[in-house]
Order: sequence, then structure tokens, then C-alpha cells
Amino acid sequence: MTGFLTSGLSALIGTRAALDITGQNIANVNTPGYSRQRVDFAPQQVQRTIGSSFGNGVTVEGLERFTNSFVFDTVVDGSSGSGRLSTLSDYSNRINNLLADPQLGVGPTIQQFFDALQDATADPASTELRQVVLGQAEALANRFNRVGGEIAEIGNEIDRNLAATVDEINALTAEIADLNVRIVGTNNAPIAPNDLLDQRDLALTQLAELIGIETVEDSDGAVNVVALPGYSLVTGAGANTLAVEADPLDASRLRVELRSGVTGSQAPIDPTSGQLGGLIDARTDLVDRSLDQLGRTAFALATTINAQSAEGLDLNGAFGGDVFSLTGAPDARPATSNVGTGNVAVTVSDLGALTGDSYELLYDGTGYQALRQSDGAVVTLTGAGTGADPLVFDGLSLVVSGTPTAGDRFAVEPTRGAANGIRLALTDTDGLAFAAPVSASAALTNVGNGSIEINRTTDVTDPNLLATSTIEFLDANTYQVNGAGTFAYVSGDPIVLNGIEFTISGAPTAGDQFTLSANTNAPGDNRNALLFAGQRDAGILDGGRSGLVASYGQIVTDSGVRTRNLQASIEAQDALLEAAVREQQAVSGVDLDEEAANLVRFQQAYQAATQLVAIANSLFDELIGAVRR
Amino acid sequence: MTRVPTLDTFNRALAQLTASAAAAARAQEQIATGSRIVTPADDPYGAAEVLLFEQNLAELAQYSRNATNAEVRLQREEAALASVNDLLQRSRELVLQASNATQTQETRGFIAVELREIRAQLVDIANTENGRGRYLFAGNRDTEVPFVASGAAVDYVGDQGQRQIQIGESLFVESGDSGDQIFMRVPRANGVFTTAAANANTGTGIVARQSVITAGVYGGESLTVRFTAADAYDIVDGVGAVVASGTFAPGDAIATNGIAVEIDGQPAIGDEFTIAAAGYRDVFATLDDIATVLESGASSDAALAQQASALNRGLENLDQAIGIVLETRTSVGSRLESIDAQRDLNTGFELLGREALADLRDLDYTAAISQLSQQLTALEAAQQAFVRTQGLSLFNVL
Repeated sequence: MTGFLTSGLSALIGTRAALDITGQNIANVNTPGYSRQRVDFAPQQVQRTIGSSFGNGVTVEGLERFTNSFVFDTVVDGSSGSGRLSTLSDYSNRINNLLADPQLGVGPTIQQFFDALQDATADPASTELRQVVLGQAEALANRFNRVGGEIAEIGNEIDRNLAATVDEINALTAEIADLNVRIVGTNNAPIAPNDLLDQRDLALTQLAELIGIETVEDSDGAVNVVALPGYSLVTGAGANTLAVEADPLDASRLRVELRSGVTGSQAPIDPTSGQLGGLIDARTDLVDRSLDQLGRTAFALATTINAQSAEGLDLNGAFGGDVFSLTGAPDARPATSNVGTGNVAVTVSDLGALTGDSYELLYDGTGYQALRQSDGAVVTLTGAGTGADPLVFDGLSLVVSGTPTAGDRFAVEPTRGAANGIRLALTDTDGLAFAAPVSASAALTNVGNGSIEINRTTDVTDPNLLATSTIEFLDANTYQVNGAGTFAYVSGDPIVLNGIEFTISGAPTAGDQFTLSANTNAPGDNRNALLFAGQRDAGILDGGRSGLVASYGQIVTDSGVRTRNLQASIEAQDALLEAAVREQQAVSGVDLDEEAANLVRFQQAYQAATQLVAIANSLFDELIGAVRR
Repeated sequence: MTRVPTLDTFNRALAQLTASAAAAARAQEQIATGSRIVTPADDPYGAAEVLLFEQNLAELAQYSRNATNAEVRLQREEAALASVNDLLQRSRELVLQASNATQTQETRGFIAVELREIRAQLVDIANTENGRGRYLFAGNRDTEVPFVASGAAVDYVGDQGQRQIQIGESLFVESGDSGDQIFMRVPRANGVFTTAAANANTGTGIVARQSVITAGVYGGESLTVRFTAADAYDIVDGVGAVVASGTFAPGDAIATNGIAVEIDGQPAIGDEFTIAAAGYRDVFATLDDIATVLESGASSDAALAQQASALNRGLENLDQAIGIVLETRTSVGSRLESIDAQRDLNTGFELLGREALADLRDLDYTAAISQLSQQLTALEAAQQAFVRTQGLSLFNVL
């Protein structure tokens, strides 16, 4: 009889618990990380006493939390991959739009600059046309600055995000370590700490989105977290923290370091996935690479145009000065962490071999090794690094001064600063060197019909380039130069004198004179302007294969391909993550319909149990009544 | 049986709505810009091609502009040269007129006045501007007046430069000709040698025609034909040595060193005719020479004979100048033609480029619009499905 009552009571308690959990499930239908729970019932042990009751009712064995560790791991993996790719894809999109936008991109402005030069060839003396050339040159420099500045600003934003992400990661690892302590502390409690486990799983998923992790659960329930590819973040109750420090190779940049919670020592880490990995990759593969490549075009433009300017004469009869100035490129500097006193100076010795890459130069005590930043490959280099025998690789020439110590590193950035460092240097329209340096003339007193024509300047550094030279014919087949020598004359053969190549053709006669002299008073000469304009298509990069516009086209294509590939990857990755999350939800998520059905079920069970108690009560009353009678 | 958790249903429907909305937005953006390629990521290789074609089209537009610049300049030059030709032809007529035996000293003086007038006009034309302060015939020194009077002569202070302008991928055209070439470097006489009657001559020998018999034999050496009798002559070289001699009758051509000089009239004993390399004589000096001869007031037979010789040389020089102008005009004409041809070619390239660009970049509106409406239908369907499924709950019927 008491067993009957006990059964009823235990059923009441049990179903109440089940109703409570159903309520809990319903209440947490929208709680992130919540895993649905279920009350596990078991029959109370039967007392096998004759004449007595057969059972003691039901007992609540525990609360089952619906999770699947395999599915959970898939979600963690997916979150890391997705975190990295979505970060990369976001930045890639922004840079892509920046480079290709006709209002923002550099391509159309390059064209406009050369168009202005072409216009000026029609009337080189015109101040207005010269002003347009300078205006377009300034617009071009500004455009490089603008695009370069925007990309550099994205780099700064990445640094700020690095610091913020590191803070978030530290908060999460601390939380996980703390949850570990609390979970291990409930080891002997009858009911599993489901809410704590949910919290920890949620923290782990959030952490995985920030940095790729692997988790290993200890037998005591604590979880150990290792950041990929192998940096211990949480060990039981202890957490190591991440920190951002100035990058020794580039003090303006931050790098991520792992600080040991035990020893306090710090070492740089290179996480491969999660948002943190994405941020680091975005800085190297997107920001740095775009700046390097854009800088290469800017550097090539400034170098080529300045060189052309130096080959011509301006309206004042002087050799042209720099049209563009460049600061910050090429740049090389020792790491702040270096022990030795070595410093390094870099110059571009071969524009055609310039790759649009940056490098890390390593000194191993005896020699140097150059690592390409884009892929980490070792670049073949020659030379010893001395002034007489500089280190030479990829069109660069490096001279090391001071005394480096083994293990010292140097950053070599040939073109990174160029897009932001290019400026218009020339402000005076008269300073545009549109005229060729030398003009030739045949004397009017000549008798023969010989004519002279200048082909090109072979050596602009020739000290006698602007000297006046007279070629006088001794007879129809020989001539002398400045009254000396005897040279055989062949009509149309090129003659090189004082850095100028020219040809005399026709039939000069004895006494005929031809003069080469400084072309100082020829405002209408457009020969150097034509050479300026010709630099647009000249193959000055990639070993003569690419011109300026083409090199910018490469950047746009590169960026487009990269962005497109990232978009494809992120779509695939998101689909994977979505599938994993759905699977996890299928196991752990709350289904309100199911809970409604359970409510009905447990309500009925509860009503039945109350009936049990009522019937036990009435049975008891009847028994008492019978005895009283 | 798969469980369908409530939150997941919601999230899934939401994801579908977002994706449908994004696809519709993209189609809408394509239609708004009219371009298939909104960012390079849409079609990286296509975007690079677009960039190349756009650059190509910009280049072609620039070449057209250059061609127009060159054309305008050459047309001005052609107009100026046409006037030069008229003036030179008129001069030629005047010289022929002056050579007529019926002319008196007075009428020759009138002719001289007109020739000097023509010379002044010629200087004006040689100093033609392009309307923007640039002198057409100054070579590369085109900001300064190229032809300036210096005493009786006209000096050229321009240079011998000739400007080129790019009108095609690898085609450059000279946009002008230097004044040196047109006005100054005019070969004298027949371009090889010229013969002058000595001032002291007393006979009536007139140097009539001069011709080159065998090209390349005469090397510019100075020779003198000296009459040793009315019907005999010696040819004396530069150092006074007799190199040949012969007999002469009026109208005979005296031949030596591959050249021949025809002398009309009757030279006297001791009369000399000097042969020298032609060299160059600027057109202003030629006109000045002729006018000076006409103004000389020659009256004796000997002086008239010398005047006739000088007028013959003047006529030859004028013909050379006319020849050069004609040659230059022909060259200008062919340059204008090649500009036209290149412009046609550029226009053809431009059309091809635009077509290729359109193929590459332009949106197929029909397809895009039908796609957009399809996507909008999908979006609406997803929204309705969302509302319906969200309304389903067992709690509603409890």
C-alpha cells in the first residue's frame, strides 16, 4: 500500500521534473549554444517481499544533454575556416573595388597623363599644354597616393582589428579555463553540469571563429585547447594569453605573440585559420602585396619619366629635372630586434627584373639569404653585400654597412612605399624637357646636297654632349671633326659623337660643313616629348614584356582573380559550416512542436500520478473505514 | 526521421531570404550600370580585356586628335605655299618680260619695283603664324619671327628641325617643313654649276643654257672660259693652268668636265666666263639679285649682255625655288592623304574595339531583366514560405 503511494509520489516528482525540463527547453529555444535536455527515467528498484508492493515507482536518473562531439568538432573546424575566409574575402572585395573603380583606379589616370603629353607634342612651346601635362602628372601622383593611402589605411584597420581580436580571444580562453575549473569541481555531483558544458561549447565555438583550434577533453572533464598549428591556449585551469607587439621588421605594424601563463615568456605565432589567421593573411597577401605591386607601377613611372626628362632640354636650355619625386621607396631597414649594427641600403639596379615583391634578408653569420614575402621562397642572390660586390637579386642591389650578427634580419621593401611616396616634383611649366639636347644643321654655304639627321642620344651623361662640333668634309669621301682626324664617309651610316648618334646622307663636297650644337633655343622641338609619350607602351617591366598600363592591368586582374577565388572558397566553406551547424542543430536544437507534444505527454502522466495518489488515499480511507466498523 | 529544430528552421529561412535578396540586388546593379562586369571579380580576365580595349580606344582617340592637329597645321602650310607659288610664278613672268628686248631701262625699273614688292610679300608669308603665335616656317624655333631683314639680305633665325606627330600605333607624320628647306636652301642654276660673265667683259657674249652632260664628272671645281680670240677659247683651272681649248661660234655649247655652257652673242678677246659649283641661293636673295640687275641701268651692249646673263641665272634660280615649293606641296599633300588614310584606319579600329568591348562588357538586358524578375519571384516565394512555416506550431492548437 505504501509502495503504491510511493510510486504515485515518485511519478509526481518525476513528471514534474520532466515538465520543468520541457519548460527549460521551451524557454531556451532561442538561446545560442543551448543543447536540449531530457529527463532520463528509471524504475525504482522492486522490493520482492511477498504480500508487499511490487514496485517503488520511478526515479530520475539524470538529465541527458543532447550533443555529439563529432558534429561539434566539425562545427569548430568550419567556424575557423569560415572566420578566416570571410575576413579575407571582405578585405579582398574592398581592395578589388578600389583598384578597378574608374573613378578611383589608377589606370585611366595613366592614360590621361600620356594623352596630355601627346597633345603637347603638337605645340611644345605652349604654356597651356605644358600646364595640362603638369596638371595630369599631379593628378596621377595624387591618384597613386589616394589608392595607396586607402590600401595602407586598410592595413591600419587590420592592425586595430588584430588587437581587438586578440583581446576577445584572451577573454574567451580565460572563460574556458574558468569553466574548466567549475566543471571539474562538479565531478562528484549527481547531475551533470549541463549549463556549464553548454557555456563552454559556446565559448569554444566563438573562439574557433577567431582562431583555429583543436580541443582535447581530459578524463576529469576539463578541455584543453590548442590553437592551430600548435600553440597551447588552455591547459585545464590555465590559460596562455595572446599579445600584440610591434613587428621588429616593421615597427609600424603589429604582430601576434603568445605569452606563456607559466613563464611569462613571449614568442611570435602564426595562426593559420580563424579571423586572426584571416587578418594576418589579409595584411600580407592583400594589403602588402597590393601596395608592392601598385608601388612597382608608381616606381616604374617615376623612374622612367625622370630618366626621360634628364635626356631632354627644357625651355631654359637646361637638362630636365625630376618630374616626380619618390620618397620611401626603395626601402630596406634592419629589424629592431637585431643584435648587430648592420644596416642595409637598397637601390633598384634593373627595373625590368623588379618583381613587385618584398623580401626578408637573413644573415647567418657567413652569408645572406633572401626570402620572398609572398610565398616564403628563397631567392637566388649573388654578391657579398659590400660596396664593390653588392648583393644582387630580382633587380635589386643591396649594400650592407656596419657589422651584422648571425640571426639578424632586414626588411627589404623595394616598392611598397612608392604609391604613397610619389609626388609631383616639377612645378614650372618651362621645366618640362620636351626638346632633344642637340640639334644639327647643314651650313647654308654648303655646295653639295648632303643632309644631316640626329637619330638618338646614346649617352646622356657624355660631358661633351652639348659641345658644338663641326664636321667638315675634306673631299667627297672623307671628313674631319672639329678640324682634326680623317674619317671615311659612307652616306647614311650612323656616326656617334659626344653621345649623339646621327647620320649624314647625300653627296657632300669638299668644304661642306655640318654642325651639332646644344639645342638651347628651340621651344618648338618635340623630340623628347615624343619619347616621353612613347614611355606609355615601352616594355620597361617584366624583362621588357610589360608597359606601365599593362602592369596596372596585371594588378587589376590579380586582384579580380583573387577576389573571385575567395568568393568561391567562402561559398563552399559556408555551405560546409551550414551543413555542420544544421547537423548540430538536428541533435541539440529545441523543436517547439516536440516540446508541445512532451508537455501534453507529461501533463497526462502528471494527471495519472495525481490519480494514483488519490486512489491510494481513497483505498486508505476505505481500509480505515472497514477496520473501524 | 530528422528532427527539425525551431531555431534552425528560422535561421534557414532567413539565410534563404538573404541569399535571394542578394541575388536580386546584384541583378539590379547589373541592370543599373548596364555592365555585365560590375567589379573585376565578376570576370577577372574579362575585366583585364576591358581595361586593354578601353586603353586602346583612348589611344585611338588621341591619335585622331593628333591627326587633326597635324592636319590643321599642314593645311595652313599648304595655303601659304600656294601663295608663295603664285608670287614666284608672277616673278618668273616678270623676269621673262624684263628679258624682252623691247623693254627700256625705265620699264625694267618698274619691273624691279614690282619684284621688290613681291619679295616683301614673300617675307611676310614666310613669317606666317598658325594663329596661336607659332611661326609655320621656323623649324623648332617657332616662337620667334624666323625671317628677319639684315641689311639688304634676309636672315633665317629658325632652325632646321621638322616636328613629327604620332597619328597611329607606329606612324609619325611631319607636321611642317622648316623655312630653311623651303626658302633658304634653294639650289642655284641647275643645281650643279653656274656660269657668270665677268664684269670686265667687253663683248656681247651671253651665258644662255647650262647643262650637265655626264652626271658626277663635274666635282665643283672652279673653271674659267677665257676667249683668246673671237672664235677661240681656253679653259683655265683654279690655279691658272690651261686644261683645254677649242674654237667657238656664237650659239656654241662649250663642253668640259661633263658639263656644257651655251654662249650666245659674240664675246670679245679676253672676255671671261667663270664656272663654279652651284651651291645655294635663298629665294629672297635671288629676287634681290634680279631687281638689282634690272635697276642697274645698263645701256651698252656689253652691259646689256651681262644683264641678260644675270637674268638667265635669275630665271633658273626662280625655277629651282618654284620646283622646291612644288615638291614641298606634293609632300604636304601626300602627308594629308596619309593622315586621312590613317584616320580611316583608326576609325575602323575604333569600331572594332567598341564592338569587342560591348561583347565583353555590355549586359544582355533581356536576359538580365528576365533573370531579375525570376529572382524577385523566388524572393517573394521564400518570404511567403517563411510566413507560412513560422505560423505552424503545435502550441496554436493546444
